[in-house]
Amino acid sequence: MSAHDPIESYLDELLSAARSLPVREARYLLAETEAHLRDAADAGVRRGLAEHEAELAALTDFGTVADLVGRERARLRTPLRTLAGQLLRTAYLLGAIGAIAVGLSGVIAGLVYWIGGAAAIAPVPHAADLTPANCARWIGLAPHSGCRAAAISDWASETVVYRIAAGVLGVIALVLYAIATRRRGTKPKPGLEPMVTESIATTLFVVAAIGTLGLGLGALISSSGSGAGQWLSATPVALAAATIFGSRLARRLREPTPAR
Amino acid sequence: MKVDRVKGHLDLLLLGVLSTEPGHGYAVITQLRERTDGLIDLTEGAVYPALHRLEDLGLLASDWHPVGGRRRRLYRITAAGNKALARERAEWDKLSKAVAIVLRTASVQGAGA
Repeated sequence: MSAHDPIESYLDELLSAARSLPVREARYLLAETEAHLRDAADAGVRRGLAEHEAELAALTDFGTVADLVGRERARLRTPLRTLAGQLLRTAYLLGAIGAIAVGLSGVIAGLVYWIGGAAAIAPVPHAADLTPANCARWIGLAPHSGCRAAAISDWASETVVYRIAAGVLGVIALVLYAIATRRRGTKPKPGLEPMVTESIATTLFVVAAIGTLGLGLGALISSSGSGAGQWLSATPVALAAATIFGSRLARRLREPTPAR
Repeated sequence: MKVDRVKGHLDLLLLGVLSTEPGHGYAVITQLRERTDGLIDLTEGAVYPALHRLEDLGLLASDWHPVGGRRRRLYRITAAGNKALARERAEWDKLSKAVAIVLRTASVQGAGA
Protein backbone atom coordinates (compact mmCIF):
# COMPACT_ATOMS: atom_id res chain seq x y z
CA MET A 1 0.00 0.00 0.00
CA SER A 2 1.52 3.32 -1.01
CA ALA A 3 0.28 6.86 -0.53
CA HIS A 4 -0.37 7.00 -4.28
CA ASP A 5 -2.25 3.75 -4.73
CA PRO A 6 -5.69 4.23 -6.35
CA ILE A 7 -7.64 3.04 -3.31
CA GLU A 8 -5.84 5.52 -1.04
CA SER A 9 -6.62 8.36 -3.46
CA TYR A 10 -10.27 7.24 -3.65
CA LEU A 11 -10.53 7.18 0.17
CA ASP A 12 -8.98 10.67 0.37
CA GLU A 13 -11.60 11.91 -2.06
CA LEU A 14 -14.35 10.12 -0.12
CA LEU A 15 -13.20 11.60 3.20
CA SER A 16 -13.32 15.07 1.69
CA ALA A 17 -16.77 14.58 0.11
CA ALA A 18 -18.24 12.85 3.18
CA ARG A 19 -17.65 15.95 5.33
CA SER A 20 -21.17 17.00 4.33
CA LEU A 21 -22.54 13.90 6.11
CA PRO A 22 -23.06 13.50 9.86
CA VAL A 23 -19.72 12.58 11.47
CA ARG A 24 -20.60 9.01 12.44
CA GLU A 25 -22.20 8.26 9.07
CA ALA A 26 -19.05 9.55 7.35
CA ARG A 27 -16.75 7.50 9.58
CA TYR A 28 -18.74 4.30 9.06
CA LEU A 29 -19.00 4.85 5.31
CA LEU A 30 -15.24 5.36 5.06
CA ALA A 31 -14.47 2.22 7.11
CA GLU A 32 -16.95 0.09 5.14
CA THR A 33 -15.70 1.39 1.80
CA GLU A 34 -12.09 0.72 2.66
CA ALA A 35 -12.83 -2.84 3.84
CA HIS A 36 -14.87 -3.46 0.68
CA LEU A 37 -12.24 -2.09 -1.70
CA ARG A 38 -9.42 -4.02 -0.05
CA ASP A 39 -11.48 -7.23 -0.19
CA ALA A 40 -12.32 -6.62 -3.84
CA ALA A 41 -8.67 -5.84 -4.70
CA ASP A 42 -7.49 -8.98 -2.88
CA ALA A 43 -10.04 -11.01 -4.86
CA GLY A 44 -8.69 -9.47 -8.09
CA VAL A 45 -5.15 -10.43 -7.18
CA ARG A 46 -6.34 -13.98 -6.46
CA ARG A 47 -7.89 -14.03 -9.95
CA GLY A 48 -4.44 -13.21 -11.37
CA LEU A 49 -4.51 -9.42 -11.75
CA ALA A 50 -1.52 -7.28 -10.81
CA GLU A 51 -2.08 -5.37 -7.55
CA HIS A 52 -2.51 -2.00 -9.29
CA GLU A 53 -4.90 -3.45 -11.87
CA ALA A 54 -6.88 -5.21 -9.14
CA GLU A 55 -7.28 -1.93 -7.24
CA LEU A 56 -8.45 -0.12 -10.38
CA ALA A 57 -10.93 -2.90 -11.12
CA ALA A 58 -12.26 -2.72 -7.55
CA LEU A 59 -12.77 1.03 -7.90
CA THR A 60 -14.53 0.70 -11.26
CA ASP A 61 -16.95 -1.87 -9.82
CA PHE A 62 -17.56 0.28 -6.76
CA GLY A 63 -18.61 3.47 -8.58
CA THR A 64 -17.74 7.12 -8.11
CA VAL A 65 -17.41 9.03 -4.85
CA ALA A 66 -20.01 11.57 -6.04
CA ASP A 67 -22.54 8.80 -6.68
CA LEU A 68 -21.90 7.10 -3.33
CA VAL A 69 -22.07 10.30 -1.26
CA GLY A 70 -25.06 11.54 -3.29
CA ARG A 71 -27.00 8.37 -2.45
CA GLU A 72 -26.09 8.68 1.24
CA ARG A 73 -27.17 12.33 1.27
CA ALA A 74 -30.47 11.43 -0.38
CA ARG A 75 -31.02 8.76 2.29
CA LEU A 76 -30.34 11.19 5.13
CA ARG A 77 -32.50 14.00 3.71
CA THR A 78 -35.42 14.89 6.00
CA PRO A 79 -38.66 13.51 4.49
CA LEU A 80 -41.27 16.16 3.58
CA ARG A 81 -43.78 14.71 6.04
CA THR A 82 -41.27 14.97 8.91
CA LEU A 83 -40.40 18.51 7.83
CA ALA A 84 -44.09 19.47 7.78
CA GLY A 85 -44.46 18.07 11.32
CA GLN A 86 -41.41 20.03 12.50
CA LEU A 87 -42.81 23.21 10.93
CA LEU A 88 -46.19 22.71 12.63
CA ARG A 89 -44.64 22.06 16.06
CA THR A 90 -42.39 25.11 15.71
CA ALA A 91 -45.28 27.31 14.55
CA TYR A 92 -47.41 26.07 17.47
CA LEU A 93 -44.71 26.76 20.06
CA LEU A 94 -43.76 30.15 18.60
CA GLY A 95 -47.47 31.03 18.40
CA ALA A 96 -47.87 30.16 22.09
CA ILE A 97 -44.78 32.21 23.03
CA GLY A 98 -46.08 35.09 20.90
CA ALA A 99 -49.45 34.92 22.67
CA ILE A 100 -47.71 35.00 26.06
CA ALA A 101 -45.75 38.07 24.90
CA VAL A 102 -49.04 39.71 23.92
CA GLY A 103 -50.37 38.85 27.39
CA LEU A 104 -47.37 40.48 29.06
CA SER A 105 -47.89 43.58 26.91
CA GLY A 106 -51.47 43.56 28.21
CA VAL A 107 -50.16 43.65 31.78
CA ILE A 108 -47.95 46.65 30.89
CA ALA A 109 -50.91 48.27 29.11
CA GLY A 110 -52.92 47.74 32.31
CA LEU A 111 -50.23 49.58 34.30
CA VAL A 112 -50.20 52.42 31.75
CA TYR A 113 -54.01 52.57 31.98
CA TRP A 114 -53.80 52.69 35.78
CA ILE A 115 -51.14 55.45 35.76
CA GLY A 116 -52.07 57.52 32.70
CA GLY A 117 -55.76 56.80 32.27
CA ALA A 118 -57.68 55.27 29.36
CA ALA A 119 -56.57 57.97 26.88
CA ALA A 120 -52.97 56.80 27.26
CA ILE A 121 -54.01 53.42 25.85
CA ALA A 122 -56.84 54.03 23.40
CA PRO A 123 -56.94 56.69 20.69
CA VAL A 124 -59.54 59.43 20.54
CA PRO A 125 -62.40 58.09 18.40
CA HIS A 126 -63.15 59.65 15.03
CA ALA A 127 -66.34 61.67 14.83
CA ALA A 128 -67.74 59.12 12.38
CA ASP A 129 -67.52 56.43 15.07
CA LEU A 130 -69.65 58.41 17.50
CA THR A 131 -73.00 57.26 16.14
CA PRO A 132 -76.02 57.30 18.50
CA ALA A 133 -76.08 53.50 18.62
CA ASN A 134 -72.38 53.25 19.49
CA CYS A 135 -72.67 56.03 22.05
CA ALA A 136 -75.64 54.32 23.72
CA ARG A 137 -73.62 51.10 24.04
CA TRP A 138 -70.49 52.84 25.39
CA ILE A 139 -72.40 55.02 27.83
CA GLY A 140 -74.22 51.90 28.98
CA LEU A 141 -70.84 50.55 30.04
CA ALA A 142 -69.69 53.81 31.66
CA PRO A 143 -72.88 55.66 32.71
CA HIS A 144 -71.20 58.75 34.20
CA SER A 145 -69.08 59.57 31.11
CA GLY A 146 -69.67 61.39 27.88
CA CYS A 147 -69.74 59.36 24.63
CA ARG A 148 -66.12 60.08 23.66
CA ALA A 149 -64.71 59.29 27.13
CA ALA A 150 -66.85 56.15 27.39
CA ALA A 151 -65.56 54.97 24.00
CA ILE A 152 -61.93 55.53 25.04
CA SER A 153 -62.54 53.73 28.31
CA ASP A 154 -64.14 50.75 26.52
CA TRP A 155 -61.38 50.47 23.94
CA ALA A 156 -58.66 50.75 26.58
CA SER A 157 -60.32 48.05 28.72
CA GLU A 158 -60.65 45.79 25.68
CA THR A 159 -56.97 46.30 24.82
CA VAL A 160 -55.91 45.22 28.31
CA VAL A 161 -58.40 42.37 28.76
CA TYR A 162 -58.03 40.83 25.28
CA ARG A 163 -54.24 40.89 25.46
CA ILE A 164 -54.18 39.26 28.89
CA ALA A 165 -56.66 36.66 27.57
CA ALA A 166 -54.27 35.96 24.67
CA GLY A 167 -51.46 35.46 27.19
CA VAL A 168 -53.57 33.00 29.20
CA LEU A 169 -54.36 31.10 25.99
CA GLY A 170 -50.63 30.99 25.22
CA VAL A 171 -49.89 29.49 28.64
CA ILE A 172 -52.70 26.94 28.17
CA ALA A 173 -51.31 26.03 24.74
CA LEU A 174 -47.84 25.42 26.22
CA VAL A 175 -49.27 23.35 29.10
CA LEU A 176 -51.35 21.26 26.65
CA TYR A 177 -48.25 20.67 24.52
CA ALA A 178 -46.26 19.54 27.57
CA ILE A 179 -49.09 17.21 28.68
CA ALA A 180 -49.53 15.76 25.18
CA THR A 181 -45.81 15.01 24.76
CA ARG A 182 -45.56 13.56 28.30
CA ARG A 183 -48.66 11.39 27.85
CA ARG A 184 -47.25 9.86 24.69
CA GLY A 185 -44.45 8.55 26.91
CA THR A 186 -41.89 9.06 24.18
CA LYS A 187 -39.18 11.62 23.63
CA PRO A 188 -40.88 14.80 22.38
CA LYS A 189 -40.54 15.12 18.62
CA PRO A 190 -38.29 18.05 17.79
CA GLY A 191 -39.32 21.12 15.86
CA LEU A 192 -37.04 22.76 13.33
CA GLU A 193 -33.33 23.09 14.11
CA PRO A 194 -32.89 25.45 17.12
CA MET A 195 -30.89 27.86 14.96
CA VAL A 196 -33.76 28.14 12.45
CA THR A 197 -36.37 28.54 15.21
CA GLU A 198 -34.31 31.21 16.97
CA SER A 199 -33.72 33.07 13.69
CA ILE A 200 -37.46 33.12 12.97
CA ALA A 201 -38.34 34.19 16.53
CA THR A 202 -35.65 36.92 16.63
CA THR A 203 -36.78 38.32 13.28
CA LEU A 204 -40.47 38.32 14.26
CA PHE A 205 -39.87 39.99 17.63
CA VAL A 206 -37.46 42.59 16.16
CA VAL A 207 -40.08 43.45 13.53
CA ALA A 208 -42.74 43.64 16.28
CA ALA A 209 -40.51 45.89 18.44
CA ILE A 210 -39.71 48.25 15.56
CA GLY A 211 -43.33 48.26 14.34
CA THR A 212 -44.89 48.99 17.73
CA LEU A 213 -42.24 51.61 18.51
CA GLY A 214 -42.90 53.32 15.18
CA LEU A 215 -46.68 53.28 15.67
CA GLY A 216 -46.30 54.49 19.26
CA LEU A 217 -44.01 57.36 18.28
CA GLY A 218 -46.38 58.18 15.43
CA ALA A 219 -49.28 58.40 17.89
CA LEU A 220 -47.19 60.58 20.23
CA ILE A 221 -46.39 63.01 17.41
CA SER A 222 -49.68 63.10 15.52
CA SER A 223 -52.25 62.62 18.29
CA SER A 224 -50.48 64.31 21.21
CA GLY A 225 -49.89 60.93 22.82
CA SER A 226 -53.46 59.70 22.62
CA GLY A 227 -53.44 55.92 22.18
CA ALA A 228 -49.65 55.71 22.09
CA GLY A 229 -49.67 53.40 25.11
CA GLN A 230 -51.38 50.56 23.24
CA TRP A 231 -48.32 50.32 20.97
CA LEU A 232 -45.55 51.34 23.35
CA SER A 233 -46.73 48.81 25.96
CA ALA A 234 -45.86 46.05 23.47
CA THR A 235 -42.42 47.41 22.51
CA PRO A 236 -40.49 46.42 25.68
CA VAL A 237 -41.94 42.90 25.61
CA ALA A 238 -41.08 42.42 21.93
CA LEU A 239 -37.62 43.87 22.58
CA ALA A 240 -37.03 41.56 25.56
CA ALA A 241 -38.14 38.49 23.57
CA ALA A 242 -35.95 39.56 20.61
CA THR A 243 -33.00 39.95 23.00
CA ILE A 244 -33.53 36.51 24.56
CA PHE A 245 -33.86 34.70 21.21
CA GLY A 246 -31.16 36.88 19.59
CA SER A 247 -28.60 36.22 22.32
CA ARG A 248 -29.29 32.46 22.15
CA LEU A 249 -28.83 32.63 18.38
CA ALA A 250 -25.62 34.65 18.69
CA ARG A 251 -24.22 32.17 21.24
CA ARG A 252 -25.03 29.29 18.90
CA LEU A 253 -23.47 31.06 15.90
CA ARG A 254 -20.27 31.73 17.85
CA GLU A 255 -19.86 28.08 18.85
CA PRO A 256 -17.49 25.96 16.77
CA THR A 257 -19.29 23.79 14.19
CA PRO A 258 -20.83 21.01 16.29
CA ALA A 259 -20.06 17.35 15.62
CA ARG A 260 -23.29 15.91 14.28
CA MET B 1 -28.21 -6.89 -15.12
CA LYS B 2 -27.18 -3.43 -13.97
CA VAL B 3 -28.40 -1.49 -10.97
CA ASP B 4 -31.17 0.36 -12.85
CA ARG B 5 -32.85 -2.93 -13.82
CA VAL B 6 -32.89 -4.24 -10.25
CA LYS B 7 -33.45 -0.89 -8.54
CA GLY B 8 -37.02 -1.64 -7.48
CA HIS B 9 -36.04 -5.07 -6.20
CA LEU B 10 -32.73 -4.28 -4.52
CA ASP B 11 -34.29 -4.26 -1.05
CA LEU B 12 -35.86 -7.66 -1.66
CA LEU B 13 -32.54 -9.06 -2.92
CA LEU B 14 -30.56 -7.72 0.04
CA LEU B 15 -33.11 -8.98 2.57
CA GLY B 16 -33.13 -12.32 0.77
CA VAL B 17 -29.37 -12.73 0.98
CA LEU B 18 -29.23 -11.65 4.63
CA SER B 19 -32.16 -13.87 5.63
CA THR B 20 -29.91 -16.93 5.55
CA GLU B 21 -27.01 -15.50 7.58
CA PRO B 22 -25.54 -12.16 8.66
CA GLY B 23 -22.93 -10.69 6.36
CA HIS B 24 -20.89 -7.60 5.55
CA GLY B 25 -21.41 -5.55 2.42
CA TYR B 26 -18.77 -7.22 0.28
CA ALA B 27 -20.02 -10.70 1.23
CA VAL B 28 -23.61 -9.71 0.38
CA ILE B 29 -22.58 -8.47 -3.06
CA THR B 30 -20.44 -11.56 -3.70
CA GLN B 31 -23.31 -13.83 -2.69
CA LEU B 32 -25.74 -11.95 -4.92
CA ARG B 33 -23.39 -12.41 -7.85
CA GLU B 34 -22.70 -16.08 -7.10
CA ARG B 35 -26.33 -17.05 -6.43
CA THR B 36 -27.40 -15.47 -9.74
CA ASP B 37 -24.45 -16.84 -11.74
CA GLY B 38 -23.31 -13.27 -12.37
CA LEU B 39 -26.68 -12.19 -13.84
CA ILE B 40 -26.94 -9.47 -11.22
CA ASP B 41 -23.86 -7.31 -11.35
CA LEU B 42 -24.47 -4.14 -9.35
CA THR B 43 -22.49 -0.96 -9.02
CA GLU B 44 -21.17 -2.13 -5.70
CA GLY B 45 -21.15 1.29 -4.05
CA ALA B 46 -24.95 1.50 -4.55
CA VAL B 47 -25.47 -1.41 -2.17
CA TYR B 48 -24.19 0.41 0.93
CA PRO B 49 -26.72 3.29 0.93
CA ALA B 50 -29.42 0.64 0.35
CA LEU B 51 -28.20 -1.39 3.35
CA HIS B 52 -28.10 1.78 5.46
CA ARG B 53 -31.62 2.71 4.38
CA LEU B 54 -32.92 -0.75 5.32
CA GLU B 55 -31.26 -0.31 8.70
CA ASP B 56 -32.94 3.11 9.09
CA LEU B 57 -36.27 1.38 8.42
CA GLY B 58 -35.53 -1.21 11.11
CA LEU B 59 -35.45 -4.09 8.63
CA LEU B 60 -31.74 -4.71 9.22
CA ALA B 61 -29.46 -4.21 12.22
CA SER B 62 -25.68 -3.99 12.19
CA ASP B 63 -22.65 -4.37 14.46
CA TRP B 64 -18.95 -3.98 13.90
CA HIS B 65 -16.79 -7.08 14.18
CA PRO B 66 -13.24 -7.98 13.18
CA VAL B 67 -13.51 -10.49 10.30
CA GLY B 68 -10.49 -11.76 8.35
CA GLY B 69 -8.19 -9.18 9.93
CA ARG B 70 -10.45 -6.23 9.03
CA ARG B 71 -13.07 -4.40 11.07
CA ARG B 72 -16.36 -4.93 9.27
CA ARG B 73 -19.96 -3.93 9.67
CA LEU B 74 -22.03 -7.09 9.82
CA TYR B 75 -25.68 -6.77 8.83
CA ARG B 76 -28.40 -9.10 10.06
CA ILE B 77 -32.09 -9.22 9.28
CA THR B 78 -34.52 -8.21 12.03
CA ALA B 79 -37.97 -9.65 12.81
CA ALA B 80 -39.50 -6.70 10.93
CA GLY B 81 -37.13 -7.43 8.06
CA ASN B 82 -38.28 -11.05 7.91
CA LYS B 83 -41.93 -9.93 7.80
CA ALA B 84 -41.14 -7.42 5.04
CA LEU B 85 -39.25 -10.11 3.12
CA ALA B 86 -42.21 -12.52 3.32
CA ARG B 87 -44.56 -9.78 2.14
CA GLU B 88 -42.31 -8.66 -0.72
CA ARG B 89 -41.67 -12.27 -1.78
CA ALA B 90 -45.41 -12.94 -2.01
CA GLU B 91 -45.82 -9.80 -4.15
CA TRP B 92 -42.90 -10.83 -6.34
CA ASP B 93 -44.33 -14.35 -6.82
CA LYS B 94 -47.65 -12.89 -7.96
CA LEU B 95 -45.98 -10.45 -10.34
CA SER B 96 -43.57 -12.97 -11.85
CA LYS B 97 -46.42 -15.49 -12.35
CA ALA B 98 -48.47 -12.84 -14.13
CA VAL B 99 -45.56 -11.80 -16.35
CA ALA B 100 -44.75 -15.44 -17.13
CA ILE B 101 -48.36 -16.14 -18.17
CA VAL B 102 -48.40 -13.18 -20.54
CA LEU B 103 -44.99 -13.97 -22.03
CA ARG B 104 -45.80 -17.68 -22.48
CA THR B 105 -48.76 -16.82 -24.69
CA ALA B 106 -47.06 -13.95 -26.54
CA SER B 107 -46.02 -14.43 -30.14
CA VAL B 108 -42.56 -13.06 -30.82
CA GLN B 109 -42.53 -11.32 -34.23
CA GLY B 110 -39.51 -12.19 -36.34
CA ALA B 111 -38.20 -14.79 -33.91
CA GLY B 112 -35.86 -17.19 -35.65
CA ALA B 113 -35.92 -15.12 -38.85
